[in-house]
Amino acid sequence: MSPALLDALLAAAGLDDPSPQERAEMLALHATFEDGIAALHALPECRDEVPALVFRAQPPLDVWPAD
Amino acid sequence: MRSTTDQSPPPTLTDAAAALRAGETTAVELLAAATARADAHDAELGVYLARFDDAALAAAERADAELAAGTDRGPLHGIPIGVKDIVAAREGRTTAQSLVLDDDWGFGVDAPVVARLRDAGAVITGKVTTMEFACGFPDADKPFPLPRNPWDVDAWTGGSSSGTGAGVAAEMFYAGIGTDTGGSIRIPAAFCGVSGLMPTYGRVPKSGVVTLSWSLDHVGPLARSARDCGAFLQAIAGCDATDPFTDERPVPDFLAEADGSLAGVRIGVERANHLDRDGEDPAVAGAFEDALAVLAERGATLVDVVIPHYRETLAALWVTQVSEALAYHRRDLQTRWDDYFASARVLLGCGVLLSGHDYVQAQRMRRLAQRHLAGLFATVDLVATPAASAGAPTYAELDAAGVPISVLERVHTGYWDAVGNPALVVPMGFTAGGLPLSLQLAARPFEEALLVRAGDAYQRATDWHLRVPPLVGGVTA
Repeated sequence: MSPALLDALLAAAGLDDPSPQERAEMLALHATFEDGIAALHALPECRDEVPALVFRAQPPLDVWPAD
Repeated sequence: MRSTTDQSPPPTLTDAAAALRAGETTAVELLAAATARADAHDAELGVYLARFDDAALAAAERADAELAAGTDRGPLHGIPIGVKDIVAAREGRTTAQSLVLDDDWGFGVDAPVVARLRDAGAVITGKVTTMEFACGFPDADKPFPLPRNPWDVDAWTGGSSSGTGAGVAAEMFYAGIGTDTGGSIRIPAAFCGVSGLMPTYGRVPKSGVVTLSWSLDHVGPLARSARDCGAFLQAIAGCDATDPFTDERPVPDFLAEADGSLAGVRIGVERANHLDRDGEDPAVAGAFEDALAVLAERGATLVDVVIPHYRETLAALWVTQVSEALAYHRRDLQTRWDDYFASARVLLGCGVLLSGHDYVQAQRMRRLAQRHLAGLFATVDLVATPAASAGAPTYAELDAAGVPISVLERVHTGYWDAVGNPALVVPMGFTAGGLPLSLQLAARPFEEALLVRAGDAYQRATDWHLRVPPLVGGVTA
């Protein structure tokens, strides 16, 4: 992940305020997971796995806090 | 352990409940002792964001009156309890320890878990510190208390249920609500030398709790003992219509199996991903092996295992947590970047580096890990690991780094959040510097009762969980 790409992605998200040091910290954090994230796409078994997301065609029975 | 001359209240929630019923103490006396601890030490430890002294006294008096009249609401009846300040309680506002959260979020309303605690007779003593929005690290530049570890006030408590961990360790309350998205119940429990139980995802309703990551957030107890955690979980577990992710299955008796024996229990010991790590404290491996020996003495069979897809599942956790959290916070980050804690805004900002297809693959990975883990749990009943590779970091260590990646890499809790299985931490020793170390046990989904049984069996044979920091009356680590 390049600093220029990070800058572009932050700008696209409307996040203009991170300092240069904070941007460097983001890149360092992302780097610790980069191989693992690549593995998510590389693992053959992942491709046909059902994602751990379930959509239910029914709204929640109640809301918090109650109206 | 305590000095033998110390006239302290009962050490555990379970002991306090027994003493109440034996007429040896009252709820008002338990609250008075807890309040005295807070008066003496809170300025140094930074546990409370808000104390509810008047409401707590009224609740304690009511609890005593009910017991005297023969109404017994169970083991939490009359027990002082702290609430992490990302959970709504009717006495006041919820801050999430943030300048950013709307003042009226959840104002004057109980989250379902708090309402359940009140129904169980608990005495809510106040709202306690967290890391901002339950993520990141302390920020001394923000107008909130800095949580400090009762075992060494120059050390952090761990987070994000910081005040809950420190408050239990410092005897400001017997137990408290924590939340766990990557380890936020188990890390402060481990660093503060108390017990912490992350229930199965969906076991406890999370409505009325400020969201960090909706598919990872768990609500659960920190307390001195595993048995205390089981009693606490009994009060808060179960389906609630306001949280569609809560599970509808009946809630079992979490203490029913806790008879001190582990006969017939097979425990998988995971060293491959948890030992011989960078930054590992020299005491960790020995304390872990000693803890395993105790479990074996109680009847468990130990076998070596390797957790499936460990590294990839941690990546899935990161992708999920940061993506979901950024979705919640992006609008506020755009306009109030500097109002966020320094570490929280960096962690949240990392979400821009992740894509929609990263997120989908992370959810596939979580399901894949669940399936392979089910295969592992077909051969063992529990998995044991150290909770962390070291004791709590010092504030000097945290201050030297922006987001201290080395600290993140020393805790071993996140895998279980990603797969949703329940996990318990219990104290297992100390570093040479006197900081607590902990054992982590994980179980199949919805088998919290087995975790309580194992933790209780371990704690019947050890006293690590009963050790009290010198600061609050203990005489040695």
